[in-house]
Amino acid sequence: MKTPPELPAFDCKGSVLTVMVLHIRETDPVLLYPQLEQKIGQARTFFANAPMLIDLRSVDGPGQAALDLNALVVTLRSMGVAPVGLRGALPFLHEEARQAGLGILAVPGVERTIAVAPPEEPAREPEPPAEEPAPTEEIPPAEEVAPAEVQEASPLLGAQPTGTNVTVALPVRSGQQVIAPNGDLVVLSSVNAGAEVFAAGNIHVYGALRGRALAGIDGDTTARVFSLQFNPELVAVAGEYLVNESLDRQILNRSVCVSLVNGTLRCQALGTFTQG
Amino acid sequence: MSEEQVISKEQRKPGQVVVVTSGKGGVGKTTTSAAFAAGLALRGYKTAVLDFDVGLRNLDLIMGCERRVVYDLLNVIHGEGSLNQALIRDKRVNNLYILPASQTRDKEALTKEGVGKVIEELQLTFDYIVCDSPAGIEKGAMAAMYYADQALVVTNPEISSVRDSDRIIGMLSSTTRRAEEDLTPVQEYLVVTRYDPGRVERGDMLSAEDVREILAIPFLGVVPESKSVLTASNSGVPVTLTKESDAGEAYFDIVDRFLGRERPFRFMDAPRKGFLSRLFRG
Repeated sequence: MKTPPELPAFDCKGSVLTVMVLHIRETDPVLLYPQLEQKIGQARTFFANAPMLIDLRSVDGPGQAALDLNALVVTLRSMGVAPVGLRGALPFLHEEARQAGLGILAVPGVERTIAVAPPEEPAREPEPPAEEPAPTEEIPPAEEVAPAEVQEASPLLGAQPTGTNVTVALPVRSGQQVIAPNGDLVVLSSVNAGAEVFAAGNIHVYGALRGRALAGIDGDTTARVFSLQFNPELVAVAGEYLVNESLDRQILNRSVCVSLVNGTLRCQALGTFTQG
Repeated sequence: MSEEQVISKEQRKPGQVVVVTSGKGGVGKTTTSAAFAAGLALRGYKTAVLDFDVGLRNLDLIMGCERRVVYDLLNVIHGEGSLNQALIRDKRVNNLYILPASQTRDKEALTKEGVGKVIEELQLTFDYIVCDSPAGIEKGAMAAMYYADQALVVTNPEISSVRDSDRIIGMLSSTTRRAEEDLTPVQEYLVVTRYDPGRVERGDMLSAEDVREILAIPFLGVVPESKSVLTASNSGVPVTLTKESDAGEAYFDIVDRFLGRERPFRFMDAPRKGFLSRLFRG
């Protein structure tokens, strides 16, 4: 319709996106790669084609010098992740980053707000345990049955391009995984035994929680898990976890809120809150 | 009757595909398939029952036609025999046909396309096509459920069976043709078999109510643990064709509820013991 002298071939606009950030703390390949394989390799469906920013702010000069950036990028790509940029790197890494096809980003003043957690490292500390205890043996069985997973989980994942909360109306059944990578997860039905639900924020289950629920997967220690009928296989907040056997028998099958208090999980029957 | 048939021939809908599945083995899928198919046939629907348990075929034994098998499902898929040659007509019930599985091949031979062709052909002439799924979630089970319009999820009142059924229900809503083509999802129905109300009362078994609550799909009824099931299987008679069998009656109730008729739920409570028997039995 428009007949300007030159048709604009493109628009260049700014856009705020949510991107996963890989905070490297240790560049020793002996530590780094097995842990990456453990965390990302086991949740491939979650990380598939996910753009990821590599953050080196926590690594000191010698540590950064020891990093083989190209190897890291290749490893991440082999896991299906799409590394897009590098942040907090010292200048001597910039050339390597360009060669590896990464953009170079300035360190922002404040990081993306994950709930109220302060952006300093302490908030992040609980994360490593998150990798070790929970998923180690648990996720592989679900992985073996991946074909179902992907299709079951992805339509649910598709619900959050805006990067916020995910609501699931159907029961989450054995072998299914639902992930709310950027916000709260609300399940309007039950989470059955053998199912897994993850959220960066809170997990609300308006039914029975009989499977695994991991809230605060990005290290948000203020995340909570709520359930009307609480009998989970495993419940975790920011990496601190409890298995069913270690839960207080008194609270099983009651309405329960799980929160992280001073580094340990507290399960409170709802409706019986006491002061403090 | 004849009038009805004329009408049905003129404007036939394609037959409904019903998969009988459970995940776990030994819960009564084949018994249910045979009884359910015979029940549908007795209610006047032209029914074919297909065995998908390649390598471990049983349906022909339970249907009592094992000595009449010439061609099987895989022969038809591979074009080594026609569908009409392979379908075995039941001698007791009109309208009931059996398509046995192959005992000698492995499940890899069940291709989605091949099964699709067979089912499409059956849909032209049959009202119901009942697919007896093998246990597990491997190729045979996937092939059996892929074309399903409806599903009977057979569950025993124990937690491992319930969990496997839960898994299967998840797969029915994600890895079937209806899911892939974005049609209305497969309609699942719950059938609880080998139910013993006495043991439920003593707390040894999950109650039907518990199973319903966990699986959260429409409930067609329970089939009581019954000696008549074993007797019927061993003599090659679907339990719905035996006389005076509690399990047979339970399956008829299930068939009727499946067809949308109201039936009161039976066999859910333990028979009340008389005063004397309580006194002497403790």
